[in-house]
Amino acid sequence: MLSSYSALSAVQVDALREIGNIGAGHASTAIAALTDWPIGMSVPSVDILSLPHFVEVMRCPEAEAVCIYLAVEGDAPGHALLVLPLDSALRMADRLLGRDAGQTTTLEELECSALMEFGNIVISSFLTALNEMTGLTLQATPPAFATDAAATILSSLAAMLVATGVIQEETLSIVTCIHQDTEKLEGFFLYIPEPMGLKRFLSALFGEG
Amino acid sequence: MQEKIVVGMGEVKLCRSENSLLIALGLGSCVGVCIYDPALCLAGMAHVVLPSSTGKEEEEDARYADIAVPLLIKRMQQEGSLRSGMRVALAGGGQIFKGFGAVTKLDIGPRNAEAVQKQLTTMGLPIVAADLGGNVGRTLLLYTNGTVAVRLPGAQERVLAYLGAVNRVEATLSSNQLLRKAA
Repeated sequence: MLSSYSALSAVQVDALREIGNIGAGHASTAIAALTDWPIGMSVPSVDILSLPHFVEVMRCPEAEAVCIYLAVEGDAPGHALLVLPLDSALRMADRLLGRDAGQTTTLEELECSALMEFGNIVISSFLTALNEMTGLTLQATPPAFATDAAATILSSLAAMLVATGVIQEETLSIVTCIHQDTEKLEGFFLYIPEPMGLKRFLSALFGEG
Repeated sequence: MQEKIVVGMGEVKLCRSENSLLIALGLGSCVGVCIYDPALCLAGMAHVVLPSSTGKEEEEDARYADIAVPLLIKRMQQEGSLRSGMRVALAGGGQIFKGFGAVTKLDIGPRNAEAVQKQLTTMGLPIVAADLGGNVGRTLLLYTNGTVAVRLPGAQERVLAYLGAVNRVEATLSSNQLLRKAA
């Protein structure tokens, strides 16, 4: 039973980090293909946080950010988010819409829709990697979009997860930082497996329940 | 040096030391409840996540409006506050995700705002000021001098209410009355 995440063994945490690593690797490849930029990524961290501290998964909770969110259904339900700090999102919109650097200064309907589609593709490639690795079916629901302070986005999402019973006392998230060094862009990829989804992942990786 | 006390999701915190403030970072669908007692310079804040605890009767689970509001009032009373001296300001309850499906259907923000207001009315506390709804996140600050401020992403802090200063006379009166009662 995974009623408490702290019961996870070091090996299990390593396995989750590896899931994050491979997933984010695929996602970075997708970003590189879409933007024609080389993309780097950090080793994922597996964070177990109580609800009051959940927003601390982001380094700068008050900084403005753009977030694309997808709920994941199927064998291993979970929640995937791509969070881009505002500067990075604007620069990314430039690139996606074929504009010169710095031309996008606000996010109107067109920019939002481009970023949303971008997030959709990136998250889907993350899920495809997880599917290839574990054999579990993972279906993404249509994306939702938000721009606000990172803390606002995360707390609103967390409220929804508490309301639907996904988060009880604490939550586990796998966080990977992706970065593009020449343009100084960064983004954060978060995956929050539901307790049931986490169990399925671990069973698929370790061959038991 | 000003001490910032962060009130995280589902927390209730009090503070009365000078040069301190209570802060709830980036309230989206959550609602921040500030209660201030000018007579004691006592500040309290709850960071409400959901409207109702239906079925989950845990006395101190301050994630829910119906538990958090009475709990905050109780904690203030334990510190010597009278309900009649409490002044309230609210912020939050917005809708952040523009999207589809389950995300917006839940409608948590407006329901939180409504639940908190209802709970305060039930407990007989008038709301001095509120900044609720819309689709923007707010950082809420309550200083121990009673000033309540709201900060929107990328903007300057703006005062929502002075729960202390304006009614200093009234506060002095009520504390004098208290003294008289005590004597």
